Parts: sequence; C-alpha cells; structure tokens
Amino acid sequence: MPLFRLLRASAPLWLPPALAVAGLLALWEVTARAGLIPPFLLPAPSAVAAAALAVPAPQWLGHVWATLRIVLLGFAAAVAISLPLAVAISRFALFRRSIYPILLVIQSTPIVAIAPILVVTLGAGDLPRVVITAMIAFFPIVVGTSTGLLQCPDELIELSRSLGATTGREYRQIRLPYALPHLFSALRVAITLAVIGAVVAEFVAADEGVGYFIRTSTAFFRIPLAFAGLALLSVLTLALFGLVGLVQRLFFPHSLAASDARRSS
Amino acid sequence: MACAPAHPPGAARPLAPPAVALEHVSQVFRGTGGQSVTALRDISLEVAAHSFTVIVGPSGCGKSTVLRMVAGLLPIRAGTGRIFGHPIERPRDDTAMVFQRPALLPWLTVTDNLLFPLRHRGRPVTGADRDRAARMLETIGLQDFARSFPAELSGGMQQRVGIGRALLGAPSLLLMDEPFSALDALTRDEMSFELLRLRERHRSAVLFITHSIPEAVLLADRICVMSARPGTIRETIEVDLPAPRGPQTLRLPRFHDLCEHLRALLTERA
Ligand SMILES: Nc1ncnc2c1ncn2[C@@H]1O[C@H](COP(=O)(O)OP(=O)(O)OP(=O)(O)O)[C@@H](O)[C@H]1O
Ligand SMILES: [Mg+2]
Repeated sequence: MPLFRLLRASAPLWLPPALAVAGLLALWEVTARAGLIPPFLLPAPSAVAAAALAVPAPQWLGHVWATLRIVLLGFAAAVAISLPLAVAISRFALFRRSIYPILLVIQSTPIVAIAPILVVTLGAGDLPRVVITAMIAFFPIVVGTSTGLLQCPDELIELSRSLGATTGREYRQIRLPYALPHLFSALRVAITLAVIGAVVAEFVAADEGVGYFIRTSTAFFRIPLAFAGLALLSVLTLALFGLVGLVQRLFFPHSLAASDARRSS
Repeated sequence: MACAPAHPPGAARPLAPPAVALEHVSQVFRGTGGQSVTALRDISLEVAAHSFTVIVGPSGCGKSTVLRMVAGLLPIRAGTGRIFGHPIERPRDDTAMVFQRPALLPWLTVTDNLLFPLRHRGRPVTGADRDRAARMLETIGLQDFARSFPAELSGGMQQRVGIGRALLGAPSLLLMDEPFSALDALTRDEMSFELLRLRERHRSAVLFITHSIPEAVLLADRICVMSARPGTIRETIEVDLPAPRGPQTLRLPRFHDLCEHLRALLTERA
C-alpha cells in the first residue's frame, strides 16, 4: 500500500502506462516461451524484436516515411475540406439538413470495399491513398467542429451582433475560438483514423509503406516481421496523437484549460 | 463629490433629443407551431438624455424584447423607435449592452475582454486604449486581475468586467438586461452603488431591466411598470429621491414608501 501511494504521489505521468505495457509484454513473452501458443500464430516479443532488428534501418525508415506521408497528406486534406464544411453547416440550417445524409452515406460506406474502386478510378500514385485516408478522417472533424460552432452560447452571439460585427468576425473571434476544444478532440480521433486509412490503402495498392510491409510479410509467413510492422504502426499512431496534443498545448493553451474545466464541471 | 442628478423631475426639458424614444411599438412573435404571441402592445417610452430609466414587470412581459429592439438586435416592425433622434436601424456604436450573464470570452484576459469591442469592430487597439482599459480596471476594482482569465474570477467580478467593457467605449446609452440577477443580495447592493458611482462619471443615459423592487427604486430617475402579456406600460413613476444616491438612500422613509407603492402596483392583478 505505501508503495502504491508513493507511486501515485511521485511517479511521472508516463510511468504507470509504461509499467502496464511492460507487464503485458512480460506476460506475453512467458506465455510464448512456455509453448502454449505456436510461434507461427503468436511469436514472442523477443522474436519480434529480433526480426525487426534484422531489417536494415534505412528500409524501415523508407516504409515509415511512405506511410507517414500518406497519413499527413490525407489528414491535411481532411482538415482542409472539413473546416469550411463545418462553418457552412453551422451557418446554414438548410445546408445542414441536406448535407448530413450525404456525409453519413460516405461515412457508413466500408472503406475496405471502396478502396479498390478508388485505386482503379484514380490510378497509381499517391492520390488514391490520400483520398482514402481523407475519406476516413474527415467525418469526426466535420461533426466535432460544427457541434462546437453551434454550441457557442447565445449571449456571446448577441454580444457580437450588438457590436455590429460582420459574420466573418463573429466566426473568427467568437465561434471558432469557442469551438477549439471540440476541434482538437476531433483532430485526435481523426489522426488515428488517418493511420488506419493509410494502411488500408497500402493493403490495396502500394509498393512501399508499413501497411505494404505487413501484407508482404504475412504473405510469406514471416509472422514475427508482420508483428514488428504492427508495433511500428502503434508507435506511429501514438506519436501522431501526441503531436496533435502538443500543437494544442503550444499554440492554443487556453482551449486546453477550457476543455479541462468543462470536463471537470 | 456631490453631483446633481442628471435631470431632476420637474426640471426643464433638455433641448437635446431624448436618448430613447419608442412610440406605439408592438411586437408579435410567430411560434414554431404557427400560433402567434403578442409580446408587446402599443409601448411608448422615453429615456431622457443622461437619465436612468428602469423597466420592471412580471416574467415574460416583454422587457428583454423592448431592450433588444432599442439595441437594434430586433427590428421594429410596428411603431417607431429613435435613439438620440435617429431611427433605430442597426446596433449603434454609441450604445452598449450589458447582459444578464457576463458574456465574457473565456480565452481572453480581463484586459483583452475590456478591449474586445474595439477589436470586434475592426478598430486597431492603441496604447491610449490600453491606458483607458487600465484605468477602467481600477474603476471596477480589478487592477490586480488584468491578466487573469474570466474563469479565475467570481461571478460578481465577472459582471463588473462586463459593465466595465460596456462603459469603456463611453457610450451615450447603456442598455442593461437584469445585469445583477445572478448575484447574491450583498454583491448586488454593492454593484448598484458602484454603477451609480460609475455613471456619475460617464453621464450615460441608462435603460435598465430588473425584477428587484429596491434595486429599481434605488437606481431610477423614472420607473416604467409593465403588465403581463401582452406587454404594455401600465404606469410610470418619477422617483424623487435626493442625489447622490448611495447606501444612505436605503434608509430614507421616502425610499420605503416608493418600494411599497411599486410592490402594490406589481402585485395587483389587472
Ligand atoms: N424570438 C422569440 N420568438 C418567439 N417568441 C419570443 C421570442 N422572444 C421572446 N418571445 C416571447 O415574447 C414574450 C416576452 O419575452 P421577453 O424575453 O421579452 O420577456 P421578459 O419580460 O424579458 O421576461 P423575463 O423577465 O423572464 O426575462 C415571451 O412570451 C416570449 O415567449
Ligand atoms: Mg428577459
């Protein structure tokens, strides 16, 4: 008990999750070594690490960069489409009612089903992969941002009107800053979806990237290598997720405080 | 500092046009179900320049509607409305509004909240503006909170920022919709005295809405008593309490007589 209390009082924030992951890996290692699960189904973490180290670093970097490029391009495209769309949705009720069903149809189309079609229509190159990534990432941004824009309290809008401000200023100085906590929550969800989108796209058509690497490793029954790729994807997702949080903390610190206050109240 | 009341009752009419003049204003709202609500019927109301007019009335009688019309937020479809002789067409730069809730921007510091109207109107914020904001902070007693965020202030302090923001532009007309209703009784009295002091300095005309009878009598040169739907002005009371008003006003017998009179008017069923 005192150890527990000590841990809670003095441990850095990252320590408990790190211990949890380490514990899980240890359990996995023990299970695998005891021979309870055949190694071609679930290789031990040590085997995965050994397989990962056997691949030259430049090769890994090449795959990571290929995936990262698609993720970032697709994410940027999703943001670029979503923000104006969210503004229009919050501004015009008629537009909101007519566009939402269409957005829902796009969102509920299984991305795996549509990806091969897009590859055929959009041809080789990055374009189909970027489009697939953007398609899966844009929905939470549109919904989150338009919700935030619409939740702006009436008295702030009245204030804006009583000052005779233009709609542009109302959005730039009141509605958008007010929606920032919503926007960043949405961006965090969207960036993880973007990684999924990029990997799905690489499964369908690619000659490099982590998704491509996993697919080819599996095809040749090199399961430890596939797991290594998977682990790399997790690290990539965590890093991108953290990056979104970092951007929020550095450039919009007050949106963070506001969302914390709202959560705790 | 002894300051004469802006325009004591019975004094000669100023030559300047009244701050607010509403004539035969009516308002019908159409509900979403198609039925219509007559919120206001034939309201005529005048706020003399530099004077303090209070509107009291039961909940839902249309007080906020009157204020929103004067503020230019709700177009006047029946009747006429003028501010300083000009027809009301849109929100005016010489008019400022204080809302029931402070309506501060949570991501701006107290100082930046005070300066927000300038920024929101697209004016550049100069050093002189910052000086005026600093002086306003002293006036509202928040000089130590210039860099605080609204969430770090109490409700009363936030409301003071809202009032300071409205006064900073030195408006000729101040519109206040139950500005103190969210405050406890003690803070409320304090805020009333503070408002009286601030106004002595700025000499803005004020149109003020409240549910509180003592607040109305303490602040007003003139009280308009409204009746429930459809909202009409039932009676106008000239408040002949001596200036300057302050804590001592609350002890005058005349103050209590006026409160009683107002209470009787408000409780009697039409
Ligand atoms: N935008 C609107 N649409 C439809 N009806 C409205 C609208 N605004 C006000 N009303 C109606 O007009 C009437 C007067 O409303 P108003 O807000 O002016 O009352 P009030 O006197 O300020 O009440 P309170 O003291 O509770 O604030 C109410 O019956 C209300 O339902
Ligand atoms: Mg009201």
